[in-house]
Amino acid sequence: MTKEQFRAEFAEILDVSPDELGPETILTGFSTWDSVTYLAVMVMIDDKVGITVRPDAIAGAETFNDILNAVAERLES
Amino acid sequence: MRRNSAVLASSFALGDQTLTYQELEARFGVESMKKVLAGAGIRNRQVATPGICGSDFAYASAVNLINHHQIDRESIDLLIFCTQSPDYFLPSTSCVLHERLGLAKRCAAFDVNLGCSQYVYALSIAHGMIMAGTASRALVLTGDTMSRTVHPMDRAVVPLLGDGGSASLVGVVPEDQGFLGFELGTDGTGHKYLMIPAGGFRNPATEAMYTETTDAEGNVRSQANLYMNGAAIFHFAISVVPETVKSLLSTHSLTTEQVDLFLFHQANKYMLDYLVKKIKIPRERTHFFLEDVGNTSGSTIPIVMTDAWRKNMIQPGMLVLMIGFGVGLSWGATLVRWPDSALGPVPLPPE
Repeated sequence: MTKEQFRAEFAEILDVSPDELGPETILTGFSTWDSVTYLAVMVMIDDKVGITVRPDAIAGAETFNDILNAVAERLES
Repeated sequence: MRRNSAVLASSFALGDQTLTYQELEARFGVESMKKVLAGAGIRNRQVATPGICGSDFAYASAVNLINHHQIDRESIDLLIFCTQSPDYFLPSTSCVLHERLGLAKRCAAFDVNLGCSQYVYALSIAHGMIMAGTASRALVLTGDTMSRTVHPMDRAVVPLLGDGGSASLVGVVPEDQGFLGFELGTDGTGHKYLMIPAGGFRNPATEAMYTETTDAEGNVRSQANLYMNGAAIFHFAISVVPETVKSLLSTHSLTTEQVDLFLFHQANKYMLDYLVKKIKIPRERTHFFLEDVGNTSGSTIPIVMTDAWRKNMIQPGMLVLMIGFGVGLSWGATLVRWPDSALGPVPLPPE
């Protein structure tokens, strides 16, 4: 999976356009960013990236970059 | 001839009161409840009426089972009651149930204090005691009223929980049928993720323990209420469940294709759908029963098992895998070849 594909999948979960997700975009700015969304993100990462990310890495993420950093080593550039 | 043991009959009882989708919509909002239904797959949940305890569901289930199958109460020499909402701190509620059920004095009775993994653990204990010759015919009962442990304004848990209980008869079967094996596990580092912090002896109940706090998502609870870190539990489940299924099957040189029915702890439909996909199980080889029931904690497996059995999804000779996982963190899985001599589930009463 590439970074752009990951951005698209993540945007779909948040129900926003991928263009709205810049590296420093603050996630709490989206009304859809809540504990239910964390589960969908965990499933997407487990299923599509192939790793199980710790929930605090998602719940504690402030920006989209924080999420990307949690999965970066498994994404193609 | 060497012997084995298996579940021979089962029954369940649910809370009499329905906590409806509409009621919770009024309490938590339309959008919240849409997410609960879409995510957890729970619409309505059956909860206990005031004054009813988990043991009452177990008792009702046991009486139905005993009467329907005309079980000789004197033949029961083991009673295991699984609960995390006992009648009293002591004695064991199983002893109270022993009296209520009029069982013989030569009958072991004790409680198992586990949640979502309780049923598989209890089956493993009953099986072990039967194989050791310590018992020959067991009643494995479950019963909880977890809806009473949550704060009414905790949106993270109120919509999920239901109350109920079950009864299973476990007895001797020929060696080539019954339990193939069990795999049990624990991760105590996760004990804080699903817990009632106060009210035991570690944090005795004081006035401060009942002080309400509101978390970042607006959920209200006190130290005396059940707390669940949903994301942590979810993360645990999507890791442990596929690993345990794979490990148990591998131990017995089996593949998922050879299992006729997978019965998972009924926590959350979104999680179960993902587990079914991840473990690559055909949907017709699993069963769900939580939309109008709720998550009844440790009773979900015997309840979904009984419902599947009533619908003829379980037949003698089939290989069934049951797996419970949750509070502790604790998990347990078993593989069982359904016995020819099974008496059957207690049918639903006529409408």
